[in-house]
Amino acid sequence: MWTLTADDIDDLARGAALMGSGGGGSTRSAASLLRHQLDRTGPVTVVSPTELPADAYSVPVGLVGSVTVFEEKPLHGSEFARAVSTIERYSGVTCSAVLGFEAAGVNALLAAAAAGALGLPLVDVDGMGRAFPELEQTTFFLHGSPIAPVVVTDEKGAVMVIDGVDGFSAERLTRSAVVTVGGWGLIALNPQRNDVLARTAIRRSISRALEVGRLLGSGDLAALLHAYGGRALLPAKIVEVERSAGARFGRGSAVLEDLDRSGRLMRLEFQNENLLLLEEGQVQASVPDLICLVAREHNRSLTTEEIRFGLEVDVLTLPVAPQWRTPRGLGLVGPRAFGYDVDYTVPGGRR
Amino acid sequence: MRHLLGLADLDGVRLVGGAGGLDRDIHEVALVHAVAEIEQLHESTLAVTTSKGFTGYEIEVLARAAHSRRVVGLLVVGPLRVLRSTTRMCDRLGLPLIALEAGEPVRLASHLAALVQEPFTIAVRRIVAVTRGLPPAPTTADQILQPVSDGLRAPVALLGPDGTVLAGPEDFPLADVALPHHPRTVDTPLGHQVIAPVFVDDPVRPELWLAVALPPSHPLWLDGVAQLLKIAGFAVTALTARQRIVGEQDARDRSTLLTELMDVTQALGRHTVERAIRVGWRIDGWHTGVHLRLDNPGPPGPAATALVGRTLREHGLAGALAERADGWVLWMTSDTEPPSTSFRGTRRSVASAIGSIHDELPLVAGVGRPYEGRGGIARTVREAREACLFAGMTARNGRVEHIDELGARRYLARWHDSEAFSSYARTVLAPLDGHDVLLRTVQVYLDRESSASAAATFLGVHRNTVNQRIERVEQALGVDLANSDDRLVVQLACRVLNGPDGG
Repeated sequence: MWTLTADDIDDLARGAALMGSGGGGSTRSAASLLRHQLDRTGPVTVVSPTELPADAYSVPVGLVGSVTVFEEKPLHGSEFARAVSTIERYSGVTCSAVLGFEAAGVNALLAAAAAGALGLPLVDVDGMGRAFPELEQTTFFLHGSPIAPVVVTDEKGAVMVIDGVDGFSAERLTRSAVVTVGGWGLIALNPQRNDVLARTAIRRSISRALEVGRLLGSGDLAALLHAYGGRALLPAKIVEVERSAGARFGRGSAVLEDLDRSGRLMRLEFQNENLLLLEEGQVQASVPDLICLVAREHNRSLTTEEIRFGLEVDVLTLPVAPQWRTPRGLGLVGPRAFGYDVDYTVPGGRR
Repeated sequence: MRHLLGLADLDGVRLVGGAGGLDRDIHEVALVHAVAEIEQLHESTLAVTTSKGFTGYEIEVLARAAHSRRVVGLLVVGPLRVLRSTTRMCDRLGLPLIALEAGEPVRLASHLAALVQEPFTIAVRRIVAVTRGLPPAPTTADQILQPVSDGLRAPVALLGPDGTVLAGPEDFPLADVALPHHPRTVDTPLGHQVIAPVFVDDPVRPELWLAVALPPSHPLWLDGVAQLLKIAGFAVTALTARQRIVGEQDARDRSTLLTELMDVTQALGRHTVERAIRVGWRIDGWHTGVHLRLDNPGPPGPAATALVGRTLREHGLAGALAERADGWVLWMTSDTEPPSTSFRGTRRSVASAIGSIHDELPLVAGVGRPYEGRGGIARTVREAREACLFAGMTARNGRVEHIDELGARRYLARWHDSEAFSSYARTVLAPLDGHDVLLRTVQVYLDRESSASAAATFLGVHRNTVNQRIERVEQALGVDLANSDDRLVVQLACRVLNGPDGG
């Protein structure tokens, strides 16, 4: 158990952005939203699921949809309360804590804001371990725990309950609902028992985001990689970017040129998150592992929307939580799940 | 690859990278869409794929797989946005990446494959056309060479071991190279020559060669021609072997026919007469026989028979020719009895005939007197044989003997022939085996009327030496050379074994 204060927000935002692997949305407005929340309601208590009663329930919350729209059409403030009370009423379960279903990008910050707004502790776990685009790409679904009912709220007061469907359909229905209400929605997923969370969710998500953010902020990439077993691939300049229109999420490719002038080029494939890194046709890093472009100038991880010609970055890869590397896990979040006809590999044979 | 792009005439074709690899040979074209399919490809294949459904990174993955398989190039059909990473990679790997904006991949791959296979296809088509023109059982070499030459549209020649043209155009421009033991292509100022050996009797040493003079050509085509010459070579082998068999059969037939004719104890059957007529031999008329004996041991071969017949004809000696165990028999027939002086002319002609081929075929000959009719054939041939026995033995009488000039030696010829007497002679002289000096001495002595002085002079030794040797001979053989019978036996025995002049 520890306390998250306003002083941690910058580090948390930075760390959450890195854990987004290029996705998760711009953390800027979410950070200021959290700051306002903590100013109003004070620090947030962060607990591990084992510190909570095993048979009590925690509710996964977060934003689904366009973060860009969210920045322009922000929260009203009542969305968290409306979502959680609806799910409590609908499922008949009282939620005694909240967690982010995705403790990366804006959703790490929004989970903390939700905890503050509801006066509940924030559980130090999440369902993804990084940013993923779809709701079935959560540990809940991976371990057979239903994610429906899903409650979707918007800033105008709408409340929708989606139930009676499996994870894939829940994702599609949630997506359409969110598009219909204007581009984003605040959602609450089926409340999870704490002992199940302890066993199946990804642990220390908020703590890790904070630590990573601190190391990144101090510029100590080596320590960060050492602590989390990641690799720095090469210092690069972005020399070419191509985005394709019409795809569901913003797809694109970028060419990165070695700053050390060795002539090496790497090719990055992204679709909202950074998903595949190739060098001369060979996979150097691949989803579900994290691929991050850290802007050298600001020690900040770039989202895919920010990728543009001329930026100088450090290309990093961090290992994803081990449960995603299983065959069932790879079926949900491996390269082929994103339409890349390559095998998941970690160069050097480490799996 | 470069050639193929030129040939294929594709609209809107763009080389994206890997220009360094454009000069590699292509042997195959294959359509692929996934990395797994590339892994099935052979080296020197051009891979064709479509960009439909591709983001762009797929090309890089395919190119990497293609490079590992040593694929010659990658042709991508369809819209393709190429990033710098793709271009740089293909340049660095030397893998040509070609983008074709619009097209139908299957038809394109098929068209390119046809172009790539073209030299091979053309070669096969022409070779098949030529072999179709080969007769199943050719009777002359020209019947083999003509279809080959027509099909190749080039001169074809059959050559002997020294490069002489045996069949085909006489002015065939043979390249100045050693005739090879395996099919070989030689570059010439006008193009190429393909030379292939033909093996007839000896599987290791060729006896004949087939050669073609071609204009500058594709290597696949030259290889095809070499294979074709191998096939034509088989036909030549079969033809030559058949001719030799026929020749041998003919020779055997003639030989047995002659034997039958000479066997005067048997009446002349109608069948024999027919055979003689078929072969062109005359039985009636006046016959003059010539027996030719080979100095080398062993029966003569068909090539030698052809040479002898040709040479005799060239010297005006035309007639029936048959092989014998030690050479040949020839008899010439005239309607009337030849004048008695004709033998000199005949002997001169025979001598000049054998003289002209002496280097290739060392022969000696005997000539018999002319006799009439079937019985005459036998008599004259026999006389010729007897005369022949003495031919070539001394420098004095040269290589041709005429029976008339043999004199008394003619009677001795019978003894020389006799197997019984030969073995008797060997028995008689057996104790002197290994003592060549003694043998020679006694023969010379007896030939000079038992004169020790004359013998000594001839041998270049002292008289006493001769006498000593004679004593030793008498002891060894257990004879008394003063006794006329003993003397005669020893003298004849020496003659039989060593010839008239002591060897």
